[in-house]
Amino acid sequence: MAEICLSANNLTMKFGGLVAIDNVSWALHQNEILGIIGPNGAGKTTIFNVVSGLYTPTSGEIVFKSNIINGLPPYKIAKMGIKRTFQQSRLFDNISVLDNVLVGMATLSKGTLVNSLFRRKRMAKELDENIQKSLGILNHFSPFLAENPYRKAGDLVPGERRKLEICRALASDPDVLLLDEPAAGMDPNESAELMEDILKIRDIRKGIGIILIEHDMAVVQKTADYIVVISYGKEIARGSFAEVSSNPLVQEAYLGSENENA
Amino acid sequence: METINVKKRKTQFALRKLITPFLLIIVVALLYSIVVFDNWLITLISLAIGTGLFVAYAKLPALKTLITESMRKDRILLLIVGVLAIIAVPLTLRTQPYIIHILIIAQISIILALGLNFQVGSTGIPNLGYAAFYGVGAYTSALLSTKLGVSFWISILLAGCISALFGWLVGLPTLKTRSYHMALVSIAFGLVTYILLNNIAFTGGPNGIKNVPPPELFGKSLFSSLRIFGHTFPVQFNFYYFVLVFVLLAFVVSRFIFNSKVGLYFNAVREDEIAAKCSGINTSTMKLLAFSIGAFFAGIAGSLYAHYIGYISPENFNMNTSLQILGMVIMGGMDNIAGVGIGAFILSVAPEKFRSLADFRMLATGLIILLMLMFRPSGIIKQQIRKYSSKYLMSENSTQGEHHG
Repeated sequence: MAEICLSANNLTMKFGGLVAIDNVSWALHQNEILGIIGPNGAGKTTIFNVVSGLYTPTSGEIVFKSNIINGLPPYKIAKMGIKRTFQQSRLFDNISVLDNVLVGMATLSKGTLVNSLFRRKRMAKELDENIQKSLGILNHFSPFLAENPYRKAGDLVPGERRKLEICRALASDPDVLLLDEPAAGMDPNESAELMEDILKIRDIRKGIGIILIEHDMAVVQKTADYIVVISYGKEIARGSFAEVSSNPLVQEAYLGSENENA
Repeated sequence: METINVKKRKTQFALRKLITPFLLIIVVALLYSIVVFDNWLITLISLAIGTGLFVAYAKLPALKTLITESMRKDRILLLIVGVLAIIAVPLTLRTQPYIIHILIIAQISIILALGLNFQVGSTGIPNLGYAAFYGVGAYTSALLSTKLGVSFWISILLAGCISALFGWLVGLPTLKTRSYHMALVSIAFGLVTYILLNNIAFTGGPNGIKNVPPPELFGKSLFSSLRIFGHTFPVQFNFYYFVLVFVLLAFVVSRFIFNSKVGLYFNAVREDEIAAKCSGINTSTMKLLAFSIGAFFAGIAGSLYAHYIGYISPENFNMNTSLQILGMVIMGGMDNIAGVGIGAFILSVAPEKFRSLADFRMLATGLIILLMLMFRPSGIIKQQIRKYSSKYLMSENSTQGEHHG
């Protein structure tokens, strides 16, 4: 099997008395799409927040390319090559589509003040290259965005916003991409398009590992290679979609047990 | 049929060519009558005409595109005429040093507003204590030159640097606080600085510092009147050009930063801090940088003020001043350099011109801000989408453009 690029070992995250993630472990291989699913409030987004550095885990460790990365600030983790999207797409609304993608390339260069004041030629050349690259990425996912690079990100429809967020995350050629409920609030047509996009990511960036948090079972079924199911912060099942979906524990977590329903 | 069309197009073309010069004449005439004539009626009428024109410009899309386009085309002409006008204005004011004085204060305000724009406009950190940085700069420079006899050039540089250091220190709490809390922190800093300046004997307490020496250029004090061709020019004349150099520098530096990645990252921090962090931007560094640059500008402005007026007291740097500068940034248009410059100019000249209204003058200024916020909350010139002149984007460039009020 391919090399492991990101793994969590016995990850636990407590907020006061609340245990949001309870001793969860998983491993993401290169070129793999790992689905993390579970009912609402299971702690899926918390896992992303811990991995991307917004929270420091209470115990356990996150290993990326054989470095332990817990507790590092988010910008360092992004710089190492882990990028994410957000559940409610968090775009930079008042700047243009192109600028959003350019911000996504922040990790690629040292945009220091000194450079921008005194090495303007070099920065201009770099900017030109970055623009070309941005347009390329935008074109992959949505020709509409590539044709309207000066449109305000805040004026986009939800589907395009989601795409732009993926473009922004991919702009710096990350090794790991975390997608947080990309299909939330999408109709079946849109989520079908999204599935294509997710699979497309692997073509554009060879060897990338993707973790997908999702509610929409159709999306998970079509895209994820391996699935970890969590409920109330605990792992309850893992395996392929067929294995997981036939697991009675998973069915219970999603639909409730018969006793509860009665 | 064909010929008629061609003719029509020709006249249209000629008309379009005339628009820029025509506009230029109107704007210059209005500005001149507002700023130079000391008659409240003329000021008021000119202001009304100016506002009317601006409203027409903002409300009529056809007029807007026409003006924007022709201004884009005649960019270079506009720039040349603008620079010439700025250089020539004091020559016509040989007998009215007071008006040159107003213009110098306006110039200093522009530097201040450009500095504050980094925090409030670009990075979106509220700052209601900006005058503190201004004060730190002014006092540093004044103390250095009166107590230690340091030359102006060294003290202005140190004033900028020490002010920037203060900015960095004040920036530290912004890493933890946000929005309203940050506004409170900045007010507290402004008050603390004001009270300290008032109570420390070293800074002269409420009496301030007197006899700050004027800057020296080529061994000559700027306080010696120029004599050219037998005409004596007031000392303000020297200072006007002196400060102008700093204003131009401030504009250039602001523009460089605005158009660079740093400017873009500032915007990212303003738009969504968490997303910015996860995109790989060190938001702490960016915020501290915004504070330091802004404070550096304020320090330079403070030093210029101290050496121009020759006397500073804590009253120059109180909460009122902070709010005035904030008003300039908001009214001019946050995160738009040209807009902020215009806003600073208007809000620093207006109170002086309303002096003839005696007690009502601050009311009139307040009214301007109020009307502005009611009818154009985005400021005189709106925040613009960044345009890049990359060869990969050529096709889009022609559709939209920057416009100047």
